[in-house]
Amino acid sequence: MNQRILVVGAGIVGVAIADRLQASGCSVTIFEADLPGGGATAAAMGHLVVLDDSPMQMAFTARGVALWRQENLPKGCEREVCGTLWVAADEEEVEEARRKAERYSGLGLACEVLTAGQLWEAEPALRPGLAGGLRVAGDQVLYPMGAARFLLKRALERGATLCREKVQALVPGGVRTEPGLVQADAVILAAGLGTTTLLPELPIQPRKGHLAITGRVPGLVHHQLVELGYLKSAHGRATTSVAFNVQPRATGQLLIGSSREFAGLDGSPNRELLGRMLRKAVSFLPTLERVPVLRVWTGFRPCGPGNLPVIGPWPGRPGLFVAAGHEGLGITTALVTAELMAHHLLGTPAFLDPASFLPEPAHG
Amino acid sequence: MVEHVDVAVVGGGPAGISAAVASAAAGKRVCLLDEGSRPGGQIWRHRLGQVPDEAQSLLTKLDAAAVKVLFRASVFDVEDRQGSWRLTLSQGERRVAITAEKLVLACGARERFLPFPGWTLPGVMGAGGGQAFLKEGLELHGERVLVAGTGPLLLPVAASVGKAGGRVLAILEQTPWRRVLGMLPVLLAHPSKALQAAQLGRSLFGVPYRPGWWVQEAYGKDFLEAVRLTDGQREEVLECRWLFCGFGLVPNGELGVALGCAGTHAGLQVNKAQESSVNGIFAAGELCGVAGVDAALAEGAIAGLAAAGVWDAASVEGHRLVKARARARSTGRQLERIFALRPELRGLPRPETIICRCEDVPYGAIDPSWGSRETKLCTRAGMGPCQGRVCGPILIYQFGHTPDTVRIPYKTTPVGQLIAEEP
Amino acid sequence: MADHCIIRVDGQLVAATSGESLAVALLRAGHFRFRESCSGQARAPVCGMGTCYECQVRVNGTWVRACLEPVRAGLEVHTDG
Ligand SMILES: Cc1cc2nc3c(=O)[nH]c(=O)nc-3n(C[C@H](O)[C@H](O)[C@H](O)COP(=O)(O)OP(=O)(O)OC[C@H]3O[C@@H](n4cnc5c(N)ncnc54)[C@H](O)[C@@H]3O)c2cc1C
Ligand SMILES: Cc1cc2nc3c(=O)[nH]c(=O)nc-3n(C[C@H](O)[C@H](O)[C@H](O)COP(=O)(O)OP(=O)(O)OC[C@H]3O[C@@H](n4cnc5c(N)ncnc54)[C@H](O)[C@@H]3O)c2cc1C
Ligand code: FES
Repeated sequence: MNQRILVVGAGIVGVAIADRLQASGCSVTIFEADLPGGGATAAAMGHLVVLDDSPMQMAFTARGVALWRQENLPKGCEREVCGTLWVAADEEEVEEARRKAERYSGLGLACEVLTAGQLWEAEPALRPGLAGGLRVAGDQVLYPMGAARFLLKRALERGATLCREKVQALVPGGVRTEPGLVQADAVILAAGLGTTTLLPELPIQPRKGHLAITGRVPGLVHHQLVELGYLKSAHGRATTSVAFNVQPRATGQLLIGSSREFAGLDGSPNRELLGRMLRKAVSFLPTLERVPVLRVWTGFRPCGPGNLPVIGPWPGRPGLFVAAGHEGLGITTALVTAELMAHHLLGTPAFLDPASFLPEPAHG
Repeated sequence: MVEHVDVAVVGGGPAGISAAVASAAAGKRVCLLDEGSRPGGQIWRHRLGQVPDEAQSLLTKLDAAAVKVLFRASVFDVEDRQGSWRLTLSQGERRVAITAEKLVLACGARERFLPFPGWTLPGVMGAGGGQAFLKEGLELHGERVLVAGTGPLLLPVAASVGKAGGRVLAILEQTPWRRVLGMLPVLLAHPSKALQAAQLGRSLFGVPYRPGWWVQEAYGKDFLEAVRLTDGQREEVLECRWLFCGFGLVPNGELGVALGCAGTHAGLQVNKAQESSVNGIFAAGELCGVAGVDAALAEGAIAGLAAAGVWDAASVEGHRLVKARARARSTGRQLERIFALRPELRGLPRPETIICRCEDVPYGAIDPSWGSRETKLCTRAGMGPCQGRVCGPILIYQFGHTPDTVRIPYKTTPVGQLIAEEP
Repeated sequence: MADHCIIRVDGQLVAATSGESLAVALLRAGHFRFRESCSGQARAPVCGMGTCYECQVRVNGTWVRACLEPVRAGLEVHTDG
């Protein structure tokens, strides 16, 4: 039963899969062209958040967050169970908070609708005049690079191998690298944006985002703050958008997001969009105006063709599996992705309907 | 409102002032920007009324020239606007934007610090840092001061200590005697430097100059109390209140690198007209490689003339500037060899010694097999407010790392000022 | 030129000179703890030129590098970060 598995890509998704499969007795080799965790993972905010765009997305992210909760993470992962506070600007959004609360409670997630007064008590730095909010207690924050390294280290301790080589091509039953061909029982493609180069049938597009990190202002913000308008403003697929999204880090710093745009692979800051993003942040948190920013960076979310990532066997290519296109939720869902992958390879229970993540025939 | 100028000069040290004066003399609209409160950069930082003569004539020219000078102005963003440059700067509570046809970078250099146990104690400062505070009025009231590190800078620092009423216990120069003697031909070739040296020597009469010695450890509870020094064989402990310690200079090349100018951490590359690899961006002074004030003055003038489109190497003035630059650069290279850092200094930090002062990352947290990016992402070294300006050169020296990528804001800037105007 | 003035540092009155660097004024007044590092160590100015950020203090509510900040009468300085 000792399957030999090759994982292409040591981003959070790849290392989570490697760790999970190695723990189940497979013999895993991970290929990484660059720095493990150095892709989208290193750029990410690290909000572990349950989102409810669709019932399946909700089940997927909720399972993802639950699996992270079960992990006993070391200090370097900077995990904080600070919860998410969805901020409602007006009555319409309070209504949305109520509907959201029903959906979250339906899944057994602890949450509570806040009045304007309770919102102010929970986060006194928010601007006056907001209408209320929704607190989702179990959401977390972590340092994605730290978490990826933790999972990788554990996989290696369990006997996995890390091979710092670029995979040049997929070949039947294996991969080709500079030193030569490597054969295995299964190849799992978890190469983030690099996926499409190896498998052109699966288009993964870079969806650029800006983040700004501030100096230390401990105690200014207590929850990850997200505007309820977020779902409206950030998730429309084609449009360029910004949303209020501020995260308290374990260091006392604030991480300010978020923006979304399709702009190719140009990582230079889009000042206009950055300005809009920061203006939005200040409009919700006026004191932010004087808080110093140390660095602004951009990252690319690996955005697949559908609303959910592609996880499972690739049709017509025996032995090839894919886990890619996690867009802005790959940190949240890395462990549940690994669970689904283990289901496909080992027949272990999946908790979610694996069919929802299979590549669509049109793409297969 | 965005002001438009022909030439924007970033940095108001000798190189920047000289560039601004030259461009303005050629009839250009010029803007000079500096983070400090007055012109002069790192060398001419004296309190008002105490500026040295050599500086005074240039400062007078700057006053007379039609140059718009902005002080306390930290340039935190520069954008390529297809044919012009847009600079954004933070000036106290204000945000200012300027567009310019040409850019002259004259951002100078900063001190190189090296870590040893105790170097983070209050009372331990840079040599140039200490000197800056002394020039600006810090008084020492007979306190015991040790000056250490490397380079010719240590001597004027010690002289400033004496002037401020401090007692210099010794000047520890890490480079050995036989290499220090290499200074003699340099001095003989530059009578003016020899004169300066002689004057310095007089004011330092009685202060032990100890080449081949360096600081091993600084002790103290809330403030520096004592220092242990060594020459590799012997050790001594000296009680002291202040340690002014610097290991030469590192060019402030970040802005240029971020704009795509070719170069290394040792300086930006420029052509004979001081133009960088990026069209329209000129660079002068220490950020092209450390070579001192004479190089800065000559290169600044060349860059200023070139940015104004009137640089003529064949003119009389052109000849003079080219010669002055070549001479100063060659001296700079000689000094660099003489004061090269000795390998023993790499062995000073202990596992618990802080490497990154902003994030308190200890030496022992860094795996020597890691590259720069891995070190940063795994330990937070370089993630603090100084963005690796202090620990970057240390990591380059200790582990052979490469400099980190530079991102906006180039200087820590409040959120409110980073917000672009409404379109 | 000497234009004496009073500033307030962590609630205490300190005599200083208008226009001089705030870092010098604080050092002269015996303040050697400009900020506390993230592991709780006391830190004081190092570079004197705006690079190291070890001299960061809060002035009238805004973070500044004391070595670049000219003293003005009535400054409210906090060395709590
Ligand atoms: C600004 C921003 C903020 C975000 N915030 C969040 C958040 O708060 N919460 C959240 O859950 N998610 C967030 N995300 C999303 C998250 O970062 C991604 O979904 C996730 O990191 C994707 O992981 P991955 O392993 O698929 O990709 P990556 O991390 O990019 O890993 C892919 C790896 O594959 C390697 N590779 C590629 N090609 C090859 C090859 N041929 N051979 C060998 N190796 C190869 C790459 O070098 C890379 O290391 C954010 C993303 C961005 C950009
Ligand atoms: C700490 C120190 C002490 C020194 N002491 C001596 C000495 O005693 N004797 C001696 O002969 N030489 C000394 N030198 C060397 C001397 O400074 C140089 O030879 C000469 O000043 C170089 O001139 P410059 O114009 O290239 O740079 P500098 O004089 O360093 O000027 C650069 C200027 O640019 C500004 N700047 C940088 N980045 C930005 C930005 N983003 N926005 C706005 N402004 C910016 C800085 O504030 C600075 O004022 C010293 C150097 C240093 C660093
Ligand atoms: S002393 Fe270094 S920034 Fe002020």
